[in-house]
Amino acid sequence: MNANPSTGDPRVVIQASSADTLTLNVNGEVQEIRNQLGELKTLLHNLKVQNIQYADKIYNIEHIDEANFGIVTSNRVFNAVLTRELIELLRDRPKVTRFLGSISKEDKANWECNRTHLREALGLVEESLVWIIGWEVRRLFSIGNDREKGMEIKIGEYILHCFNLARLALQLTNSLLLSKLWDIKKTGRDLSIAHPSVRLFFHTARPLTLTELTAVFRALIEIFRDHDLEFPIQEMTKENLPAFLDPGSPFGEACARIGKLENFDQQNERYDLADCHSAEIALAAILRHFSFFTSYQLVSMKKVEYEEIRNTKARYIKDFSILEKKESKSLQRILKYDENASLTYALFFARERTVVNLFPFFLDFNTLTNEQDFQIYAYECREGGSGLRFLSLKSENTDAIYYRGVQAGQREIATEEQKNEEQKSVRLDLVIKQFEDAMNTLLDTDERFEAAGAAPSVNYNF
Amino acid sequence: MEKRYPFKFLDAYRKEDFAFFFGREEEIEALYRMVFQTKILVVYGTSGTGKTSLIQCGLASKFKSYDWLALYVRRGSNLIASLDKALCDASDGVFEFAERLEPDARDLPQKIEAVYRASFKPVYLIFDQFEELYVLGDAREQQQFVQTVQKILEVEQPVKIIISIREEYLGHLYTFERAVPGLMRKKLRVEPMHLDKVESVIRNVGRQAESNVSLQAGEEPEVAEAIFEKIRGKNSLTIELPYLQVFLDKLYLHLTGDETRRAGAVVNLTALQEMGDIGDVLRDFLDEQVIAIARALEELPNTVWKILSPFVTLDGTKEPLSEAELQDRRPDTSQVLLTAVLQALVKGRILRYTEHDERYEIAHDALAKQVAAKRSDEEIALLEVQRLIKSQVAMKAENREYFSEKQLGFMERYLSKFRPDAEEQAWIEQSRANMQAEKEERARRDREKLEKAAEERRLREKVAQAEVERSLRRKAEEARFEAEKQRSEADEQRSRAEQKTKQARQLTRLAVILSMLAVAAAFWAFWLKQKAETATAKAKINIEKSYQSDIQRLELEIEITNRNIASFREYEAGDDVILYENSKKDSLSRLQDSLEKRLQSIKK
Repeated sequence: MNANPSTGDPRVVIQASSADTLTLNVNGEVQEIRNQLGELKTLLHNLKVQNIQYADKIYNIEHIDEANFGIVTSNRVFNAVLTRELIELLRDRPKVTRFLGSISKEDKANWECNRTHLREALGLVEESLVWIIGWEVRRLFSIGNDREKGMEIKIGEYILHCFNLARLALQLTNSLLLSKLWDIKKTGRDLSIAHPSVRLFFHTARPLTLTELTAVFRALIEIFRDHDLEFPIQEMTKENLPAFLDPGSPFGEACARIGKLENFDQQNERYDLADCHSAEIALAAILRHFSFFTSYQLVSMKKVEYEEIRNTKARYIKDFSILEKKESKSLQRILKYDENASLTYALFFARERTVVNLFPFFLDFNTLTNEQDFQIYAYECREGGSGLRFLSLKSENTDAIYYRGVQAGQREIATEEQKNEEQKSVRLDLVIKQFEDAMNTLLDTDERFEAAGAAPSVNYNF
Repeated sequence: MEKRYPFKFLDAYRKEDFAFFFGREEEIEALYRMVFQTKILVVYGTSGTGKTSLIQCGLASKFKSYDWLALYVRRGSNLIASLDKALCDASDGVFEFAERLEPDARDLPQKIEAVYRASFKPVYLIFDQFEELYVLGDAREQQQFVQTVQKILEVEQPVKIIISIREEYLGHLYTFERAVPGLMRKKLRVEPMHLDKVESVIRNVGRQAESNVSLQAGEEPEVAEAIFEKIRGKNSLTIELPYLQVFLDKLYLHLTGDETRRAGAVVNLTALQEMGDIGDVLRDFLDEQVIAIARALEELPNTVWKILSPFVTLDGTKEPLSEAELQDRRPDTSQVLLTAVLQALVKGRILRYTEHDERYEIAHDALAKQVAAKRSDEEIALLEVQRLIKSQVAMKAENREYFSEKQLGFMERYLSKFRPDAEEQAWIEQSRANMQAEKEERARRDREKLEKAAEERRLREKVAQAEVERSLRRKAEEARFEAEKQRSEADEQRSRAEQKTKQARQLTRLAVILSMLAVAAAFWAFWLKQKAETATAKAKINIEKSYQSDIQRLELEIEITNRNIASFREYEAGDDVILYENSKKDSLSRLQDSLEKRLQSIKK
């Protein structure tokens, strides 16, 4: 797709747009046509013009289709479609209800075109989503909002983050399903999970494409359906499976569309504004189907300490952080004394009694390395035979975690720093070991990661 | 590709200069890692190590534009006010900055939210040259800032704080750390550059395709080392980066003479040998600038030095000033001249103008030291006066102390040489008034003391006189009392005599009565005696009669008793004498004895 404007072409500008008509300015001459893509394409074809301008935006007519035509002619800004879609999902929330109620009658139909309304809505959306998704939505909002950035850079960054967001949404859902399957299989239930897509998930040496992640997602929900398994979250039911599995469903089409955009040959093709709109529409459709992202929270279990004093009942001291604000609640760091044990280093996808541990597919790297604040990593692919590559959601950098084969037995330590380093190594090894266990359990294999460097171990019997 | 001048002179490197920013790769990585591990961190190092460039260029370049909204905050006239202004400016019109007498951080969370919502970027609040809070701020401002940071760390939006401070002021953060315990958990020391790094900087800049300065091919290591040697001090293994920048700029001008800095230059050993060392370069540079400005404005260089002087504190650190503040410090200099010198100093890169707070400041501490060294005793005294006034006025009114008479005396000579602000002037006036009031009070007290002494003297005399009078009165009283007493005694004696006479008269009358009564009694006694003798005789007869009857009765009883005894004696002959009877017999015997004794007595 070549979007380079050819300076010798006649200049076609959309001057005004209504439900029925488009007012065009063709080289200074005003023309009116019906507001239909076919008619516009014919006109441009006859004029032998590739690009059309609306306000300060230039579109390649080849990239305009029925799906994004409405946005092109409505002159909507970045994020408008996505925000409206997500606000619709949240319309029962008190804050959102208040916001929608505050919009005047005249603005109700297109409130997302009003900058003030859009900005408020963006804030509501961002704070309502589970952190992994909310953080990436924030980036999309930031790029779309940036008035200083050049259009070309903006288009590139925006579309890239549409892909990232769709990828994270699929990865998060896949991780929820895989975690549940892993737990079920650990109970001894005989399940056949070794689907090629699932195998690819565990063995890929590069980040999976959106198309591949969609295939993993479909394979996993088919496993749940075929074995009549209970889904990890209540929002996923047998009734809504066709929407996910049918390639012709809005979800299926959105996945296909965004997958296709991602697979552009970026050496020879360039994205343009219409592609951005297409990506945004597809992303909005995908997120609409994952509406549960708005009602769950991410909880990082920073530390669990065991405490048992003579002649008293043992208890656990749990130090955990809730990563996002929901409605009136603020970000929270909690210290809880509890008689029930808990999974350490866990990253929980949680709502009330529904709790799914995402570790090791998603993890809080700062918890493992004994640092403050939080830094969520998402599994991307294998790193050789002894490591895994993760994407840091905060920095967008990738980081490899290698298996060191550190013996978690007894050892002599000289300093506090050495102890911390030892603990870090043991914990980082746990990431690989957990991944290995999940993989072997789910795929019925016995594959082991090689240690990148072994540490000595001493063990006393007391 | 268009070539650019790669050196920044005394300005810090910014994100857009990243192509020329070398030698700090490790520090950038370390800082970038730390940013994700804490909400607040400290970057410290000695002056001239490039802390500001490390953050503004090195760290900033690690972030994509959508992940980095940096608000650089310098103290200005008050750190809270400067932060407030930076937030308002970044809030996309949601908040308007309003200058307040008392900076207020109460609505800070709302402002941070507005800034975040304006861009949806994580906010990085970068407090550069943080030592200014301790050099120029007072305890109240410092305390307020600590509270502000505590508030910022609680906001829900993604906000991080980076504090850049000169190493020698690190100890001032002690109180801050007590309030914000995580403050020093993540800190990065920016080390001065050693030869290896300086070499790498010079050679990399020379190799950059964008750079219009390159090193002579084949001489690169020697040129880099020679530059390092020119800049480092005699006993130092490191260099100050601003010196490197000034030196390279001078070297460039030496090579090209192009003030526009567009011409290409190839640095070689020969050109380097023609240059002096950094001390000369810096001194010369400042002197040259000052002389050139003075000449251009047809003024004496001393005038320019005097205008520069207020921009440096007594401690030799920078003090940013607005044009109005400078005018107040230099009231003897015309506004026109002041503006012209300021413009020239900015153009010569001696001063830097910051638009956000409309202040000028010395471009670098290295120059500040040179300016401080140029000061006369008179200038130093003037600054001491200014500091003295500021130190008092900086405190809350209730905590201030009026200037003493000695201090006011010291100030008086210099007050015409600068213009204290309204508050300072008011405090000086109040101090003067206080001094005057104290003087008057002293005089009043002296007067009162004298009056009091005189009064006391008068009182003492009065008391003495009164004492004499009292003594005389007492004596008179005593005499009167004595006379009274004597009179009373005489009266008493007379009374007693009269009473005795009266008693004697009564006794005489009584004696007559008694003698008459004695005669009557004698007669009555005789009559009574006769009567008593008669009665005695009768009684004797009656007694004898009674005795006779008693004797008869007793004799009868004895006889009965004897009879009883006799009858018992008869029993005694028998064998069965019972105990009772024996006792009865004994009692009869005893009765007989008693009766006989009684009989004998009566008979007697």
